Amino acid sequence: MEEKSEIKRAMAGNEQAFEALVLRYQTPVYNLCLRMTGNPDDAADVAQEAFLKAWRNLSSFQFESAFSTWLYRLTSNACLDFLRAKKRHATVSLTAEDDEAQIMDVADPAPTPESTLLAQEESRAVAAAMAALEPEHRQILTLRVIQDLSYGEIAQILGIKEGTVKSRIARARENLRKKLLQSGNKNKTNTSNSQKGGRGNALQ
Amino acid sequence: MHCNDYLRLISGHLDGANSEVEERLLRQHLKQCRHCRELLALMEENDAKIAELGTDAPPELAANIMAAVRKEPKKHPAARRRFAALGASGLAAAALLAFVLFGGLELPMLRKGADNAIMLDETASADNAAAKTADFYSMDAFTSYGSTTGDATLSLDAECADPNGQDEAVRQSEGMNAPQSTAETPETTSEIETTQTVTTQAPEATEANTTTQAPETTEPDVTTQAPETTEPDATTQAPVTTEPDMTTQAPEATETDATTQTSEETQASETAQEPEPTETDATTQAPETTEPDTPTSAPDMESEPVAPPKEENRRPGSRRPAVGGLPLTPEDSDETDDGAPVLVLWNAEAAELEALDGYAAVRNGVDKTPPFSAALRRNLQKGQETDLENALRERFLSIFSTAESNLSNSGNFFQTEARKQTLTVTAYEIPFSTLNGIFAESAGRYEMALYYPRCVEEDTDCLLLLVSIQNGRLLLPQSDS
Repeated sequence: MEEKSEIKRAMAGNEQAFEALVLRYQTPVYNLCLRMTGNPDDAADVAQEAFLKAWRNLSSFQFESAFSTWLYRLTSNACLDFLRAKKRHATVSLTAEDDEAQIMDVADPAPTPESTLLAQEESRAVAAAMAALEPEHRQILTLRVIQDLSYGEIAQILGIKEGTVKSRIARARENLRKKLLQSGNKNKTNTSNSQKGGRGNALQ
Repeated sequence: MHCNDYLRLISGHLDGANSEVEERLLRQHLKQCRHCRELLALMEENDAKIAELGTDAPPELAANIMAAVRKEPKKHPAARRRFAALGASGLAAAALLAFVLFGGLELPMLRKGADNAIMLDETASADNAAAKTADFYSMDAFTSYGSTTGDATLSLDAECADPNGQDEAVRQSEGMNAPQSTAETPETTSEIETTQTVTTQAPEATEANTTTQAPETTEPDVTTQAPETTEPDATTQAPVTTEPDMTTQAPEATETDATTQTSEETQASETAQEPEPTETDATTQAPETTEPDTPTSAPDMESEPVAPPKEENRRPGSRRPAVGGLPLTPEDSDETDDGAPVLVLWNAEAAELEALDGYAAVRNGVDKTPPFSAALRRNLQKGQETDLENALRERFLSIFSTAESNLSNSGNFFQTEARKQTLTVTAYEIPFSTLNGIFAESAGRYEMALYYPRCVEEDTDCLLLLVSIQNGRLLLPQSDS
C-alpha cells in the first residue's frame, strides 16, 4: 500500500516519493546490473539509467504487475542495451569463452568472506564464471539465485514463458558449472566418467 | 532418458519448480546415476556461491540517481494525461506513425547478415544443415517489387498515388506540412503506383486515414515483372546464397538517392522513451514536447560499390533508401550522423512475435522459411500486389496493437509522436541467430526493429522483424535476387 502510494505520487512528479522507490530497489537493481555488466562502475551507470527510464516512463506503469517486476524489466533491458552498445564499441568480447581479459577484469563485489582465502577465491571464480556466461544466462541466474525471484516473476520480467524460464535456468546452471570446470574449479562431475565417481553426495 | 534430459529436472528441483511427476522421475534416476547426483550437489553449491555475490549498492548510487532525476525536464501533467488518454487505436496509430519517421532507411546490417547465407530456396535450405539458423532474407530478397523497370517498389507515396492532391488537401486540412520529398519524383516515375495510400494521424487525431484512388496510376503489370520478381529460382540464387562477401549487395545501397531521405520531415528522438509524445515537428507538435528536433538530413552513404554477383538480375531502376538512424542511447551519438533519420527500437514480447505467422511455424519446425515471406512470394507470383499491401498493413497493425496492450510493461518502448503521413513499410524477417552480427555491424544505425532480445537459446528459432518505413513506398519481398 505504501509503495503504491509512493508510485502514484512519483507518477505525479513527486521526487521524494521516487527517491523512496530508489532506495528500496537500488540494491537488487544494482546487483542485476553488476552481474550483467561485470564491473561496479558500469553497473552503477546502468542502474542509474534504469531508474531514469523508470522515472521517465512511470506514467506507463499501470499497476498490472508488481512495480519490482516492471523495474527489473526496465533494468534488464537497460543492461542488454548496454551490452549491445558495448559490444559495438568493444575491444573485448563480453561473452567470449576464451576471453581471459574479460574474466580477469571482473571485479568481485561480493562481501569478502573473512574465514578463508579459499572462500574468496571460490567466490571470485564464480563471479568470473558468471561474467563469462551468455548475458541471458547471467541475467536469469541473477534473477533467480541472487534476487530469489520466482519463475513466474522471471517470466514476467523477461517476457517469456515459465517453461522457458525453467529450461534457461537449467542451461545457465550447467554452463556455469562448465565454466567453473574450465577455470580449474572443482566443479567436475563427471558426466563423461561416472565410473570414477565423484563425491557421491547429495543424494536426494 | 539420457542424463542430459534430467538437467532440467535437477535445476527445477533446486528451485522447487518440479511437478510431483518430475520429482518422482528425478528421484528414481538419482538412485541409479552417480553423475546426476554429483551434478545436483555441484549446482546446489554453485547456487550458494552465486547468492553470495549479492552486494549492497554503492552508497552514492541513490544520490546520483536522484541528481540525474532532478536534471530531467519537468513533465507537463497535461502531457501525461493526454498520453494516458490515448486509446488503443490512437496509440497504435502513433506507433505506426512513428515508423514513418524513419523514411528512407536501409539495413546495412542485413547486408552484413546475409553473408552467413541467403536461403531463398526452401528445398535447398532444407538440405543445408545450417539452414535452420541461416535461412533469412537479405536485402536482396526484399528488393522492391512492382516496377516495369524492375524496381520492385510499390509506390504508396501520396505524391505519386495521389495525383489529384487528395492527400495534400488532407494534410493542409490538418495543418501539416506537405512532404518535402520532391526529390523522389524522378525515382517514383519509374515505379508502379498502387491504388492505395495509407495515411495515419498523430495521436491527437484519432482517425486513421485513408485510401485514395489514383486514377492515373496503373496497376503493376505483374506479368511483365514475373520473370524478375516472382520466380524463386534456386539456381539463380545459389551464387547469392554462397556468396560470403556482403559487399556484393552494396550496389543497391550505393544507388541510394540521398534526396529520398529528405522527403520526410522525420523527426524524433532516440530519447523518445517517454510516454509523452516527444517528436518535435515545430509545425505540428504540442508545445509540451521537450525533445530537440532531429531534422532529417542527407543520409549516410555507405557506399562500397561492388558489382553484384548476378548483375543481370539487378533491376536497373532499383534504388535503395539511404542508410541512417539516430542513436539509441546517448553513448551511441558519436556513431551516427547528425540529423540522420529516426529510429524506434521496440523490444517485442513473445506474444507479439507469435502474432507473426512465421514465428510459430518456424519455432515448431513446420517451415524453416518464414511463411510470411513465402506467402508474399506466392502472392507476388499471382500478382496480388494489393493483397500484399493489405497483408503487411494488417500484420503490423496487429503487432502494434498487441504491443500497445503490453505498453505498461514495455521497458524499452520508444515512442515518438508523428504527424499525419503516408504510411509505407518494408519488412524483413530474419532469424534471431543473426541478431548479434547485425547489431555489431550496424554500428549504431538502426531502423525500427521489432525483435526479441532474450530469445537466444540454442533451441529457439526466433525471428527478427525489422521494419522500415520509406515514405510513399511499400517495399516488398521478392523471390529472386
